[in-house]
Amino acid sequence: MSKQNLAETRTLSDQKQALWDYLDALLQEVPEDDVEAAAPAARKPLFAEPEPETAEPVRAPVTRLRQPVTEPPAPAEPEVEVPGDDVPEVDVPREEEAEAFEAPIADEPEPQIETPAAEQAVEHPEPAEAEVPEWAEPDFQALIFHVGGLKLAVPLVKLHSVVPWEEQVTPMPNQPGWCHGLFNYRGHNVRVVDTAALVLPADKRAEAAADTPEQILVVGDGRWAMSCTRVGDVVRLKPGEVKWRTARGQRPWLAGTVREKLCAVMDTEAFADMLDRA
Amino acid sequence: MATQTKRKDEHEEQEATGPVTQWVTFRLDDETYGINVMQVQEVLPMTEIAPVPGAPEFVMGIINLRGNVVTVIDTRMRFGLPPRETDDSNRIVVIEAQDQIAGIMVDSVAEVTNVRENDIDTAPNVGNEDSSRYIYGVVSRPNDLLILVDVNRLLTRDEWQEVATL
Repeated sequence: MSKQNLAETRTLSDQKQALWDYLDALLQEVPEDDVEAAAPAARKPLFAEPEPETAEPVRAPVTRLRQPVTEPPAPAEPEVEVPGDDVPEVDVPREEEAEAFEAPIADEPEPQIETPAAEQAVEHPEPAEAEVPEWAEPDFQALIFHVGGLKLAVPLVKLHSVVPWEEQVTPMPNQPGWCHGLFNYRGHNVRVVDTAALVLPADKRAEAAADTPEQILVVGDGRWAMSCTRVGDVVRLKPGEVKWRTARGQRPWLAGTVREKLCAVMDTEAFADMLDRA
Repeated sequence: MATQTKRKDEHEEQEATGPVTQWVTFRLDDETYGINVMQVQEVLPMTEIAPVPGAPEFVMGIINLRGNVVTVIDTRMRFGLPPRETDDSNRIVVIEAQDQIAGIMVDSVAEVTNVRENDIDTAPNVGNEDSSRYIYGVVSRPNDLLILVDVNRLLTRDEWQEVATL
């Protein structure tokens, strides 16, 4: 294998690893202090509990890079080229940020120790307390949709309907930035939220804002709807294919992640509850 | 007998559809808003607005209306919309609210429309108490959503008092 081929292979491997890390990071609970230390807040968060002015709502930086055992230490900020719009960009923390995450904090739980990638590939220990929702048994269908390059899945049992955008959403005065407005659906005024603003990290939102929403996903009991840039396929998933999330602190909408599909599964009821509390 | 039957039918129809109110509709950006016609005194074409030093930021200034000073409220700012250069289509809707006369600057005035009380839906809260405070309700129409504004609540009590002292 030539040197160039070797480099390309490594880049591809890094990308895959980076995507896995990204999905894993979604599942991890990052203490508020750490989030603030790693990423200065750009806008008022929607669901941060203690310090709404400074915390970021949905950003979960990768705490550490997993390095293969034999690999030399990677540069502080490797370039991760992500081809296509299906693949989300990955936040790679700078060295000082990673150190900030590792600094012991009295109140926080024991930091999780990352296992090397080789071990991860062999076994993915599921937390014992991870609960599989009833609707996921014995298997379930989910609709894949795209928001600003991020791939999400919504279980069909939790999906009310899919409506084309068609400029029928009316902005309301003084509405928050994460809300597109109201649209009339079967005689009801449904609130349409900017999914990208709620789900994507702050630094990816501006990029996503340029994408015109194409579809509206009405979820739950039809009170809320989410915008998306593209609707994909319906996939059938077994509960074992999903890495279910155990703690829902910062991202209650996240039910779990699917590595096979490189997507995050949404809990639409929790999402609606979260918006109702906002 | 026929007259009695007709009256009875009208009464039954009104009970079914609810009372009808009239609303002056105006445009701000691409949306249509309505104010109860009972609170609208008149609609003025764009005129010179004299800025008032030290006035709150939601006040554009004052105008002279037949010898009376009327404060003009920056409706765009109140509604969280970006500012826009005024032109000939702009109108100042003179309203009576909280025992005061004030003007609200709008992009244009459209029409007076009838709205059945039963057709008014409560606007769901979109996460901001400030906005839901002055939205009376919404009416779904074939081509758009009419947002009904309660002008009494356009400003808070303190803000109305502030306007009164200008």
